[in-house]
Amino acid sequence: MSDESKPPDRPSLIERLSYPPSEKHEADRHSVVLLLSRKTVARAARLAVPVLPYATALGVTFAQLRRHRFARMGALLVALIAMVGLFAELLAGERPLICNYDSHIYILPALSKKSSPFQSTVEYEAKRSPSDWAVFPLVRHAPETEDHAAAFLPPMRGDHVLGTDGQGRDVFARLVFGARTAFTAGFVGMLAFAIIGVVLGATAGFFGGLVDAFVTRLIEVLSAVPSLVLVLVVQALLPQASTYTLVFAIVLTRWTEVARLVRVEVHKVIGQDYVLAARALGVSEWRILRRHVMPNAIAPAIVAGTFGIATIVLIESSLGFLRVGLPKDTASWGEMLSQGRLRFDAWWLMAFPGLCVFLTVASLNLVGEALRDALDPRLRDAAASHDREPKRSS
Amino acid sequence: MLRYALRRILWAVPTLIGLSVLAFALTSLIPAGALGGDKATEATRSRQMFLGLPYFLNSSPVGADELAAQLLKRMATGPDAEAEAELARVGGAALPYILPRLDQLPLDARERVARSLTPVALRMGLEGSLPTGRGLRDLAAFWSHFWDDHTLDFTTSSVSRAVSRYTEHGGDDRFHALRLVDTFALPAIFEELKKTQEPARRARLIQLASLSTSLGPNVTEQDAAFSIDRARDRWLEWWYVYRSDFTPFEGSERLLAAITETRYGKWSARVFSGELGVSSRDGETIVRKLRRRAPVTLVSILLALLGSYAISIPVGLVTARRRGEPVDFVAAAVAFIAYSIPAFVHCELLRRLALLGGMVDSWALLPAAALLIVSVAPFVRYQRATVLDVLGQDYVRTAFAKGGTTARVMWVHVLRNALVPTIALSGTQLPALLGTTFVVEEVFAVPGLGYETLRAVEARDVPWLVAIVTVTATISVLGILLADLVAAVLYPHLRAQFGSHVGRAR
Repeated sequence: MSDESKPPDRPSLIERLSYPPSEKHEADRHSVVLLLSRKTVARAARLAVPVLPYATALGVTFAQLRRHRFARMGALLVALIAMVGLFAELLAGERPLICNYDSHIYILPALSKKSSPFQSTVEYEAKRSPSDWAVFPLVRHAPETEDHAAAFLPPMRGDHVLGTDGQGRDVFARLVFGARTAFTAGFVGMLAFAIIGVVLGATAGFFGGLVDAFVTRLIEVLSAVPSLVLVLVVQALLPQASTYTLVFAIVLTRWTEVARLVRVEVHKVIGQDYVLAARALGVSEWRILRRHVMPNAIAPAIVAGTFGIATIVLIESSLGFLRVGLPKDTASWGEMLSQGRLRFDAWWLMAFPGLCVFLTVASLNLVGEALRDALDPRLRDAAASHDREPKRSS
Repeated sequence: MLRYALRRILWAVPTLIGLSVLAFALTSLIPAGALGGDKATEATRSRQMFLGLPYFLNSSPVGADELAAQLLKRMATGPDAEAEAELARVGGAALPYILPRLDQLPLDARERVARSLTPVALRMGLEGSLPTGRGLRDLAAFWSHFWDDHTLDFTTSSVSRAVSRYTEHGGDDRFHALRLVDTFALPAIFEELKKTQEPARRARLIQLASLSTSLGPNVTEQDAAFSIDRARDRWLEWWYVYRSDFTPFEGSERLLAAITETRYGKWSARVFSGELGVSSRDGETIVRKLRRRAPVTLVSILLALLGSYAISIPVGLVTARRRGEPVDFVAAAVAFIAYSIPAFVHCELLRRLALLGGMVDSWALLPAAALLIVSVAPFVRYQRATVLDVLGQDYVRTAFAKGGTTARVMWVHVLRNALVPTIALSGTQLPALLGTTFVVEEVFAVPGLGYETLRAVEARDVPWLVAIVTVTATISVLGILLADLVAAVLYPHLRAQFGSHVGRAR
């Protein structure tokens, strides 16, 4: 067995890939690593309150993350795709980034239609004088420009690097702007549901009683509704469906997951001795919640948030695939895939967007799992102990 | 066990009520103007969706009596074409509240009322006795006399008796007697229409309703049972919307109407009676559609779940036991990849493979297979994690120490205890699976719930869309309930934990 070669605090790949057995380790409560700020720890030490000292939350997390090879790759990939989405205009567009035209220098006319003296590459070529110059984006196609003569072009044909779709729109440009659509929805949605989930979950866990009963009910009701169905229906019913209404509809059900986790965690932390000690010292409830409870209970929210981005990306592309609810010209990976269904031999309309969705979701899942391992040491300890015991007995 | 089951089922009731509120919130999401159409159709649609009613409490519900009083007041103050048309529409149901007060009105108002009631008289078959060729004054006198003669006909009990006799036996005399009370008979007619099963009787009642409201669809007794059923659905839907125009709210009914005559009241009365309305796409009732579509979807989900268990239990046992070995690595990698590929890519790949391989024969199994690929990964990973957890328990070590073979220990000690979380997982996976079927059905053109919903999206079929949210969510709630009950049957100690177990949000 490779027990000796593997340091016990470093989980195997399979460990990182597997789900945790949930809520199995309540008995291990005291092995929870308390993620308190240095100041709190110092004060606790001065007052002789029994607290396990530990460095700041983020430092530990990142230290853990850095050692995960797969998580590192995943994080890099996510960052890369997010950057592509963020700087989409630099990568694909019809108007130049910088140009000298009519003895004026225009900077970034690509970003706005109004400041550009011409609307497309063709127009520029027609109007330009010999002394004019321009710096164009990587691919000189806009995601929404249709060209029915050039529909379903395979990759590398003409100047379409990755081919064109059924309306002759450039696949590369649409992939780039599709990343923007997916990540806008993903990040905005994640922020929204994480905030709602943390606030409601913490409130329920901390105050208990009626508030808790109400929030629990709300969680139970909303988590029973299939997200995709709800989003589909909301997008179909709203008169002006957009990416933001989509995000709203997703957030409506997704916050429940965060709230559920945070609530349980807050509930556990409240029973700890150091909270009792803080109470005994006369610390106000609000301060206990802020300084002692939340830093410990926030971990599951971070993990669920990471997985949540993946879910939102999936839902967004599924809706695109079903051609429901996104405005007509919105570039969406799923919408491109649905075009691939129309022609059997149009593999490029399947492969590229499919790969984009897969890589994004897989990377986010990897990061999420690594984060969960880093933030929940109980699982790691438990898993490490399993490694030996059954072996010894057999 | 029974006590546990009852408590668990009762626990689900508030959740279902909460769901109805949620689905109701969806209906109120839609602004009336967004539905398109001209002003008249817009008014009708907003009426059909009860946009004019308050949300939860109606302090002044408008029944037939109140409506008649309002119309009379409007007509007394001056000429009002809209009120006149409305009175002609409401007809017989308003007469008991209009005619007795006719004498107290000023002369011109009296004439206006009499004039607007003329179409009602024609519907009642009174064209012979209407005063011909003379002024409005005589018309007003005619209605006063009419009321003197026919007061006794306009009583609820006699009308409902007449309706049930007519339903049973038919006959011209009874028909004309009922025709005379016009829309006043509608409550009794629809009561009877809900009860009777026989097509001919239903047709008779529909004829009466159609005559007194001058609305369609009308049927004859000779029509096919199918088209009569269709017409009945449409009429019951109409009655659901317009009932308050023809039914007075008196006494205790008035108190009740404060709750029922609201948007939520109307909606929940419909949902909890199992009637979900009529599809605005093709006029078929939602319930009928669901009965046709839901089995397809539910069967494929069930197949996928069973397949997931069949795969995940052995794989989970093996990979946990051989932790860190190549088998484990391969299984984890496959599960991870399957988990991260979106459902629609799976489906599309599968469809293409089937087309290439000429496997069109097995077309029916493909959707279930696609669903299985999507659903199996979480089960495998979860099963492995729980088996690992159980392997670390003392009793497993003891079993090994006592000399139990690996197979026996795994089967008897480990598997039994490692199954609980996986059983619970099928409940929590249900919403995700229901969502996934929508994609699967679209790709393979399976005529299930998802396929129907996407057609409804294209046609903006609001009743179906709202119903599908309610139905899928209810299915999930019931699925979680079932999973809990199964787990409780297998593991008695779960029953004792019920209080703390539900206290934690699931």
